[in-house]
Amino acid sequence: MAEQMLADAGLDFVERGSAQVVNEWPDLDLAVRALASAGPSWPALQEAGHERFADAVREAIRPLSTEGLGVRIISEFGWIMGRAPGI
Amino acid sequence: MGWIESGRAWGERATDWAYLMEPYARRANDALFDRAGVGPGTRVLDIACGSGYAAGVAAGRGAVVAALDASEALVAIARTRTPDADFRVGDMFDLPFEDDQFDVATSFNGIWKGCEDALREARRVVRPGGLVGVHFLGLAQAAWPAAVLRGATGTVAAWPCRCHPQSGRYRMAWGG
Repeated sequence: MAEQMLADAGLDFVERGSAQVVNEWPDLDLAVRALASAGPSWPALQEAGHERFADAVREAIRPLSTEGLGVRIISEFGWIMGRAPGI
Repeated sequence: MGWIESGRAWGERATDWAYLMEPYARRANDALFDRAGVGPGTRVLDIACGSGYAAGVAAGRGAVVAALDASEALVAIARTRTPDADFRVGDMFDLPFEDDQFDVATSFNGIWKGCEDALREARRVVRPGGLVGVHFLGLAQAAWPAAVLRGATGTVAAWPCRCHPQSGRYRMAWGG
């Protein structure tokens, strides 16, 4: 799918890869505050209000929290690269 | 949702995003900059730059950096992080840069499926032979925030791409 997007934009596919990224926070409250700052949270906050939003997020990420070690969310990000033609 | 409103969504809690979230992408920044050969003198444009963390990483490598985001609040933070870079507030579908101006254009979770025209703009502003690199969430990673937000709101949450003029829907599934 991503390769087709490059082609549609007039770019020649070069390569694709991935990178592991990690979100780390000292506790659930700070993690909720961080996640509330992402653009996708904005309409949810508007619709549900902060308390309901925070409760739902806190419960969702609680399994990723370890007492004394904080909260860690490990994600795999993909990337793709294309080259502009002409050389 | 227009790009100005998308910018508002991403910039509503700009300092929290800048300092509690955006640095998580450091490994992704380095991976893409490494592959693109970003180093001293490389002319780099970062599209949907947020608070400019990636732009700062590129500048730290000696690159000549420009960047754009829809959020004025985030761009203000970016300017304090990397004063020498050229940060603009604007629309990634109508980049305020000349043709062939950059060696490399990047976007970290800023250009998703549905944003194909932004890729065309990226191609326009890189020189012939220049590189366009885009980072994106895989499907597994895309699923959990949607589920969380759905649980919080009882509805399918919107996921507004930074700068996206039609970003009223969740648009992430191009990792396949």
